[in-house]
Amino acid sequence: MRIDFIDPFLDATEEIIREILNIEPKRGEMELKEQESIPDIGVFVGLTGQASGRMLINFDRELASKIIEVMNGEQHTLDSEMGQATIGELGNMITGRAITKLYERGFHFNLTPPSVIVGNNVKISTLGIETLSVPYELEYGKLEINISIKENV
Amino acid sequence: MKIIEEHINKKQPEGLKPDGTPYNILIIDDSMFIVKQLSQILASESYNIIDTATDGEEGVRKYKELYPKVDLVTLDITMPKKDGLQVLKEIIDFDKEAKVIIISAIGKQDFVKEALLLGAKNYIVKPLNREKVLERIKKVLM
Amino acid sequence: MTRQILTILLDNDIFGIDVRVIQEVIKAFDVRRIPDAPNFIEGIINLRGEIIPLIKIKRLLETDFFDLYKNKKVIILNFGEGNKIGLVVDKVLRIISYEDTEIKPLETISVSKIAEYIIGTIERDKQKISIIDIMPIFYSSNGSFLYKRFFTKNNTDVFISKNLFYKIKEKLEKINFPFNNLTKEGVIKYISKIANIKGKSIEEIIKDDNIFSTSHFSFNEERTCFFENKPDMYLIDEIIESLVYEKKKSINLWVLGNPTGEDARSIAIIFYVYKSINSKIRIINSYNDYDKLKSGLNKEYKESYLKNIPSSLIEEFFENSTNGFVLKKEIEKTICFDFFCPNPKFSPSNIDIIYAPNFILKNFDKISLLMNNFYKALNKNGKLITGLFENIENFENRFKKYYIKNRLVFIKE
Repeated sequence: MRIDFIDPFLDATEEIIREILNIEPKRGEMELKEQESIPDIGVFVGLTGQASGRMLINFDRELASKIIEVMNGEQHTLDSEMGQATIGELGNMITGRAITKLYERGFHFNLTPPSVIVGNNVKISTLGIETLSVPYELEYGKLEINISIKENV
Repeated sequence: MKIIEEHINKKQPEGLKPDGTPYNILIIDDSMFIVKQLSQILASESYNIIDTATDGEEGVRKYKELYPKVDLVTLDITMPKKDGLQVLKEIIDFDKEAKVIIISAIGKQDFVKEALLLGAKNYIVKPLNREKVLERIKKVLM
Repeated sequence: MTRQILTILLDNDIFGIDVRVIQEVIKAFDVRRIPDAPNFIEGIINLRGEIIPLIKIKRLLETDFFDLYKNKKVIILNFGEGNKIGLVVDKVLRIISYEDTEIKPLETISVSKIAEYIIGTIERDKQKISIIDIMPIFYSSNGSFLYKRFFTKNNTDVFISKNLFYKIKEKLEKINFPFNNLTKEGVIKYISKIANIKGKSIEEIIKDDNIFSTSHFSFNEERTCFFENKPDMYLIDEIIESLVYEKKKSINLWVLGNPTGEDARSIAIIFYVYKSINSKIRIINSYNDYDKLKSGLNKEYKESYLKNIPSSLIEEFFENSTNGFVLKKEIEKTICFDFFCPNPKFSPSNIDIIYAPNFILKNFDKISLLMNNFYKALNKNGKLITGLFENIENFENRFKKYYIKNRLVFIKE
C-alpha cells in the first residue's frame, strides 16, 4: 500500500487519540491482512474519491468503554445508542483528519457516515482490496486500525 | 455596593439577544454524540436549541416550518441520504439571510471554500472545542 | 615520428587508438549473447562470415563509466594471425596525425586501470586526447592473445580443493555473508560465477580482499549511491529498451529490497536518458519496514552519492535543495513508495519488470508466499531479476530461465 496513503491515517489516529484521551499511543508492527476480526466493537467509515475502500478501527472492550467515558463525561455501555454514537464519532473524526491530510498531499478523498459494529469476534473480509492492519497499544487497552484502499485508475 | 457591582459585572450569557430572549439554534447532525455535545456547549451560554434533525431532508423541512424563528443552523456535511452541501444550498435558496455554520470532521480547503461560496457563514472542524464553537457562533450572529 | 590515431569518445573523454590495428568501424548490430561470459564481453557478431567477439572497453578497463548511452559504434581491431576483436565505444570521431614529440606524460597518478594503458596525452583544438596503448590490453608480454579462453565453451563443473573451500568459508564468515543458506555446491558455484564475471581465476578472487567488499557480497539493503550495482542497471536498461521499442502504453516496474529508494531512483533516471518516451512509467518501491521506507521519501542526496553519474548529467536529473540534491519532480513522480510484505493474496498487477536483489533472501521464511506474489504480479513475458546469490540455488521452477546481457533472468511465459 502506498505510504502516502498510510501516513495520514496513522498520523490522524495518533493525533486524535492524543487530543481526546491525552495519552500516547504506541504503534506495533503492521502487516497486510486478508481478513480482520472485530473482537468487541469496531467503527467502519467508507472512503470514496480518488481511491475507494474503507477504514475499520477495532477497539477492545476496556478501551472503548474508557473512550466513551472520557468523551461524554459519563459512562455508557457499548450497546447503548450514546455509546455507539460516541465510537462512531471517533471514527468519523479520525477519518476526517486523515482525509484533510491526504488533501494536503494532493489526494482527493471523501468519507461516508460511520457504522458501528458490536459483536463477539466478528470476521470481516474485503474482497480483492488490500488491507493494511496497524495495532496500537494504549494505557487502557488495544486498538487496531485497518485501512483498505484501492486506487481508482 | 458589592452586590450591585456583582450584578453589573456578571457577564451576559452570549446566547441572549439584547432584548433578553435567547437565540434559536437548529442543529442538523446525524451523530447523537455531536448533538449532545453541541447542545451542552450552547445551553451553557443560554442559547436555545429550538430543534434538532438527524438527516438533511428533515433539517430543511424543519427550517422551513420554523421560519423565521431560527437564528442560526449548525450543519454537518457528511450525512446519509442528502449531502450536507446540498442541504446548505436548499436552506439558502429558501432564505437568503439564513445563517449556517458547517461542522465537519474534514478540514479540506476545497470543501471550506465551496461551503463559504454556497453561503455558509463559517466552518468548524471537529473535534469540538468549547471556546472555538462559542466564538464562531457569536461572530456569525453579530 | 608521425603517427595516426582514430579518436573515440568514452563518456566525456576523448581517447585515441593507433590506426594500424583498425580494420573498420561499424554500427553495433545483431549481437549474439554468450551465457556465463564475463561482463566486459558484449557477445559475438557475424561479420561477413567471420565470428568476432565484442568487448566493452569501458568495462574491461574497470573505470566508472556511465554506460547507458544508446547507438554505440564498434571498431573492428585486427591484430593479425586471425585475432580480431570488436571494441564497443560511444562515438567515433576522426583520424588525427601527431608527432611523438607532442606527447605529454600523464600528470596525475591515477589508480584506475586505464592509466596503465595510456601512453600520454596530446592536445588538439583545446581538447585533451589520451592515447591508448592498445597492444598490452589484449596481448601478454610473451605474445599470447589474452582473451581467447573466454570464447570457448565454458566447463560448468568446477572443482575446488578442501583447502580452498575452507579459505572461502573463512572469508565469507568474516563479512557475515549468509553462508549457511547456501549448500556447499552453491557456495562454489557462487564464487566461480564471480570469478567468471571478473575474468579472473578462483584463486585470484580468494586472495583479493577488495572483491569481498563489493556489492557481490553485500546484502545490505542500504545503497548509498545511485547506480551502485551497475551490471544490474545495464541489464534493466536492456529490458526497458525492448519495452520502449514495443511502444507499450505503460511500463510498470516493481522494485524491492532498497527502502530508501536509490535503486528505484536510478531506474527512473534510466528512462530519462532516453529523452522521449511515450509510455507512462510507474515504479513501485516496496519494502516491509514502514519507517525505513518513510526515511526515503523526498530524500536529499549529498554530491558524493551521485558519484556514478557524470557531472554533465547531474543538472539534467537533479535540483538543488537545502541539504544537497533531490531528483527532479517529473522523475520523482514516477516512483511510489509502498509498504509490502509477502502475503497470501495481495500484490501489484500488470508488472513488466521485478527487481528484487536479495529480497527473497531477506524473506526466506515466507519464500513460497513471495514467489506467488511475484508470479501473480508479472505480465506475460514479465521478467524477474534477483540477486546473484538467488540465481544460484533453485528457488523457483515456474519461471523460465533466460540469459540477458550474460545475466540470469526469470521470465514468466
